[in-house]
Amino acid sequence: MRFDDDDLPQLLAVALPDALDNVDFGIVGMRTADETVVVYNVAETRMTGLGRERVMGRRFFDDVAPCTNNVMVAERFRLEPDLDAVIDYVFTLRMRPSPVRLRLMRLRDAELMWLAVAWRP
Amino acid sequence: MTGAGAGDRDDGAGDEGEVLELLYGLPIGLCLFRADGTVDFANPLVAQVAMPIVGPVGMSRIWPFLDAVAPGTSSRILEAPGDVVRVVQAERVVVEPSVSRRRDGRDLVFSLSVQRQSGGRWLLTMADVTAEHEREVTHRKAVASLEAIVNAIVEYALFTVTPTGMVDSWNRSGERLLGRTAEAAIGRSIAEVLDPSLFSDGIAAVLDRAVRQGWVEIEGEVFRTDGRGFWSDVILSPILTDVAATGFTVVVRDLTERKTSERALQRAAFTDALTGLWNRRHLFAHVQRLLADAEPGAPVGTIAALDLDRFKSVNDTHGHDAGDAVLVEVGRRLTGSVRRTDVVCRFGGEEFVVFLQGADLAAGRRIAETIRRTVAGAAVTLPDGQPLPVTASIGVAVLRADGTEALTGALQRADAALYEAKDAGRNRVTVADPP
Repeated sequence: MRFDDDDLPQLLAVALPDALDNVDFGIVGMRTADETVVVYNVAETRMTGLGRERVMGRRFFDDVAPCTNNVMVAERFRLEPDLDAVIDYVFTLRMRPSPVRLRLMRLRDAELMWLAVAWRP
Repeated sequence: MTGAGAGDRDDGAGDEGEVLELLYGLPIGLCLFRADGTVDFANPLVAQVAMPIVGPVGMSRIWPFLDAVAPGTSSRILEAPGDVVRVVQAERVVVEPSVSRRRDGRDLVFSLSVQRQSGGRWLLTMADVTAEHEREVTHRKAVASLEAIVNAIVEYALFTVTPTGMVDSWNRSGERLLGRTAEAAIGRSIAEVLDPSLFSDGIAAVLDRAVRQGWVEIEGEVFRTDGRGFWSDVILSPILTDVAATGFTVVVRDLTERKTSERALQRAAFTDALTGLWNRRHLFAHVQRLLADAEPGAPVGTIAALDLDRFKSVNDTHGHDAGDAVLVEVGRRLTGSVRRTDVVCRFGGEEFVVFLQGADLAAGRRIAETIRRTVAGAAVTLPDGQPLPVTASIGVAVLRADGTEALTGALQRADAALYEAKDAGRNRVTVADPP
């Protein structure tokens, strides 16, 4: 499973959680209905420094990663039911401005939506 | 602990994770940058606001963001003397939606501070105060529209006093009604500004009552600074917060103004403009009331219908001003020859009707005779100083309480008697037979 795989959204939809811990980019899965985090892979915990127990079940945009709670990320998830977009972004990982690429994925009528995070060279 | 990588120093499960969670979730934006603008540290709130404004490329230094939201701030930081620590202190920054890219069309407002840190670095903090700002804008609008209303009202004064009754706000309504400027009102007690007689139980007692009852109304004479007094109605209401009364609103209303204008309107509707006598409408209204209360068939009074003799020739010979002067003088003589309870009306032209309340036909004839003599007594002095003898013919008819046509019937009979008097040679009284 790679960040740039065309069928990444479909792969994520059927992947077992353990399999996601073996990929080298961050993956966050959240419920479409209320944006609460249900998948947070190991790569993501390493990037952010937040253990799973601090994020699971919390609303991702509002409470876990407020840096994404704006027109560029959160609002695209909320307004676009068919979403698969890659954008350059800057996270403040461990308080340091960190260039990343984000892949925003939402399949129409799917229970979960996905955010993939990769370091940007 | 859960998940692969537990125990790894990067998984954030320990103290570091605790600190990071705190910083990530902080509702205030923090950004540490160097003198050249390079951003060393920033928390998510800074990225949340700045990313849509400057994009990923603009995030490595602070300047693009500052130049977009608070122009001029960059140079203030760069040019700040070395001993100044707090270069920007809680300054309100308003970012329009076209810049912030907020979709709801609202301004983004935050409070910005920048202070010097050690090592030539700067700390920027920003707190979102949009909600507070919107409340303030709403509040300012409410205050401004209230001020406009208060300044525009006439015949009322509206001001506020402190919990102990000292005037603490004043406006044009108070200047107009009470003739007092804000300087001459603010800081003085309400008793001094209105009149001590209104607060004979003491200001504290009146204010206490207002708190207990929700309001207090006092009526009495209020004095303007020019010494002119007027009768007024004063309403005090507490300005309540959830704690206690933080003061009182005071509304002063000029009652004399209202009463005189009511009287003036009523007068205009029921009197004759030239002579000031009652008019036909008043006579009918007055007599209908008496008839309604009278026993059927009982005598209510006597009608005397009076017409000036050869009045047309007065107008023709001496002009209308002279004619008007005669009518006014005759009106004065009529009023002077009857009792206060009688009603003297000008019916139109040179025709007058006097209603002699409670008088029977014999008494009516006597009074009518007095009227005739008074009218024909001294000559009327015209505006040009010329004396003009005037006489009148009078028809008298009794008015009984016998149905709705009573007044009309009595007026017709008095009128017929009046023309008999004219035919008989004028300047005389003729009595109509009872119906």
